[in-house]
Amino acid sequence: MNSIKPDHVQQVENNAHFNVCRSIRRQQLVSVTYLIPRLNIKKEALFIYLGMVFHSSKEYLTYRSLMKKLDSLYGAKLSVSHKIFERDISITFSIVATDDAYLHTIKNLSMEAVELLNALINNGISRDESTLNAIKEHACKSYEEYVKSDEYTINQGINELFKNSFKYKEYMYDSLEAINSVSFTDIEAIISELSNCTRFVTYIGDEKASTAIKLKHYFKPTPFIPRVRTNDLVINKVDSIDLNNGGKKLYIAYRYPSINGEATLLFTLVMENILKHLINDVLKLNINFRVNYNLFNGLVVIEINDLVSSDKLYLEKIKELLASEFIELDKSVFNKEMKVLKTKLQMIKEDDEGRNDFIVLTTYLAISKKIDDYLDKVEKLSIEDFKSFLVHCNFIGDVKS
Amino acid sequence: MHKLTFDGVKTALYEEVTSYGLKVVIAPIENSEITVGGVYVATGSLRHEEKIDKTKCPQGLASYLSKIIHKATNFDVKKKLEELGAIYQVKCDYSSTVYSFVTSGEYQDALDLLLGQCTNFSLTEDVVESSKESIIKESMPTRNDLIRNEVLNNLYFSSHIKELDNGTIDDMKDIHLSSLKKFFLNKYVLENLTLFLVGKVDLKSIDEYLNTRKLIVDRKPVGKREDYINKEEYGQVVKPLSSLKVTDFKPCLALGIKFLPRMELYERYGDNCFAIYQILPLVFSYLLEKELSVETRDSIECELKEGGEDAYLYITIKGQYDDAFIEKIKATLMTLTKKFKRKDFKNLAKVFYAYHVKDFASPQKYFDGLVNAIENHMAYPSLIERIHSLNYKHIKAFLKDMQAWIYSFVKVNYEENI
Repeated sequence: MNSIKPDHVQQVENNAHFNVCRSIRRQQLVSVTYLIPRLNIKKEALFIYLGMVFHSSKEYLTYRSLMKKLDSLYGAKLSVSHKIFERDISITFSIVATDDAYLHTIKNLSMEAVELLNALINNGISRDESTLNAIKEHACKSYEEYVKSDEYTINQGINELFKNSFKYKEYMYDSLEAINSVSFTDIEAIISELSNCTRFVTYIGDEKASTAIKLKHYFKPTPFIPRVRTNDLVINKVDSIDLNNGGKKLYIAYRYPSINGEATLLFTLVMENILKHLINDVLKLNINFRVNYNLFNGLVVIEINDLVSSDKLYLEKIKELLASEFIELDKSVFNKEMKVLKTKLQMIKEDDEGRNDFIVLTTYLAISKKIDDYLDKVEKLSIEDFKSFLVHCNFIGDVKS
Repeated sequence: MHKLTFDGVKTALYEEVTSYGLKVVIAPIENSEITVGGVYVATGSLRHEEKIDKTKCPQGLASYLSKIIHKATNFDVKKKLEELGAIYQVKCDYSSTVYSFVTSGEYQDALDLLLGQCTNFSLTEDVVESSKESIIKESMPTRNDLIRNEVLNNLYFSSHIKELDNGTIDDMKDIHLSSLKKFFLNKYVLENLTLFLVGKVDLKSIDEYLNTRKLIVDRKPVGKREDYINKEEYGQVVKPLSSLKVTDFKPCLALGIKFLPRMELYERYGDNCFAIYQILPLVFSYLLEKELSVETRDSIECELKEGGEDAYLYITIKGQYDDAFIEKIKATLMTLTKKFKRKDFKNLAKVFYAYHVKDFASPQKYFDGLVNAIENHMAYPSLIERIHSLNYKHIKAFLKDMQAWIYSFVKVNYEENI
């Protein structure tokens, strides 16, 4: 059997985050992540700029011409994702192209993917007024739909827990006025910010290919100094808030310690299943819930669906559990979760898109980017380590709807 | 084991039928540390009979069984698999139910558990009745199910394909240990089972494994079946257009195109028919995007579903549009061969191939491809190679036929009245 493994070949070069990894998935992924300080830009302008990148860049004046280009690259997939933090917004552009060794082509698809990314990001956008207006109109529609949705009502309710000093889930746009006021000047400010801000560059493919060098040349990865967790976040313990949106949901918010290493990240990944076991198998509450863990501020929101009755009882029992020392947590359950986690980590290691997300996430958190480190760690962690992580939490409040 | 090599997509499959009659398909992937293993059962949510002996077979029986079967008398297969570090997965489609696991560790014990689950009925009355409430809760139709169901009710007069996969609440309440057992003994028989293993697999040790496990009991279907007779009318639809309100859902237009019966299409196109089925969603997404100038490619979703004799193309277009837009779609459907040119086909075939040639390096995608293709008795690599060798004339002939097929629209959350 061939010995090629999906290894992390290069992690940091001159303190700049330039990642080169091997792929075993017959494809190449090129990716650039920007971390833009919010102080310097208008949030709405950033998301409208992203619309312009797709619909009217200088090189690809229309959405259709860009799609045509992607089709000519054998259906290469271009995607943009974002994360909105308190003080920064991160934007990740990536293109995945099939390894040309498996196609009947003389094209170097990964190199063309890098050229395309360069054309879209570094060569700017057109100043086509009608496209800008169409994108703004689309953004307004999207904002109006968001405001009408349950998601909006719920997010507003949870924000109340923090007396609006912190936003639980922040949307791309804050108001119609903010969208409508975006001008080309605001967009130019975004483009200028992109050329100066912190960025990470990742290539996953054939590590010997010259593509990685080209990618580095165009996007110039920078060093990254992580921002420490904002412990100054104002959290107000409040009474329950009734949302009156007709739904039946209950939210409980907690805050856990910072992610400061491989172990704590791994714990957050098994937390939902362990809480499910404790709440449903041990407490026998038989409820359907989700756990949203914000890795960046330690905020955990438990979202309980389909409440029928006795929500007070649920709430008290869950609060009691979260404040306890988790003596009910059995070693076999913990070991089972760690074994399953090992399989999940291996799946991320072999999946190029998942791996890119993992690299971006761990770079933000300033912890190891090598999945092998986590695979080693997962074998060594004990239930005591996990319990001591769990007990360091603070109850914040609950929201009923 | 018999080796099948596919030079085009650069992969190989190994297949055999064990001495005790179990069909086995193995696809090793170099360098992967992940194994996906599973048992394919050739029966799904599409009902083929009203009764087995005197036991009623309510709609949703297959899906209900797939959700509860892991709760064996003495232990829970799902939990046992997790203790081995394996993730349990279940997928119940119209014509198949697939139980599988993904693991980065040893897979033989996991295989024992899955094979045991699919060959021994060990549910009890207690387990079935006590799980009912939670199964009904998790089986409630999603918003997308409601839209699809409306389209299918518009398209089909009597075909069981229009029924909800999980059945209605009353159907589910009607399911008891006796009906599950009868269904299991009739459908989970050796001739309906195939074992798949993809990814990190050692051929020598799996060969030894298969020789030492004589755990499969050769069981023939039992009981007298009262088969469902298909009296579907293929020349017309129940309703060509309807509207639907779905809470907390953005407006969209849904469209279903009703295909001729499978046998008729197979007689006309042979195995190419199934290759064309694979590429048709891409063809329609492309054509509609081109003809309708929708905002983005993501606005159109297109899927082809097959079940028994029936198949349909299901398309959703995000947003609210006027009647002229619907007329434009109708005009496109009537002129498919004119709109879809040779060069369009060449481009799409190229994109499709480039996308799927990667599947043979991904254990999960390869596994999914294998179990989907086997429904039409094809090996997945061979299906992808067949699509690569399709000619424009094949697809053109099919599209020409499709121009005469009938369809139905559903306007979802449109503000004005129809």
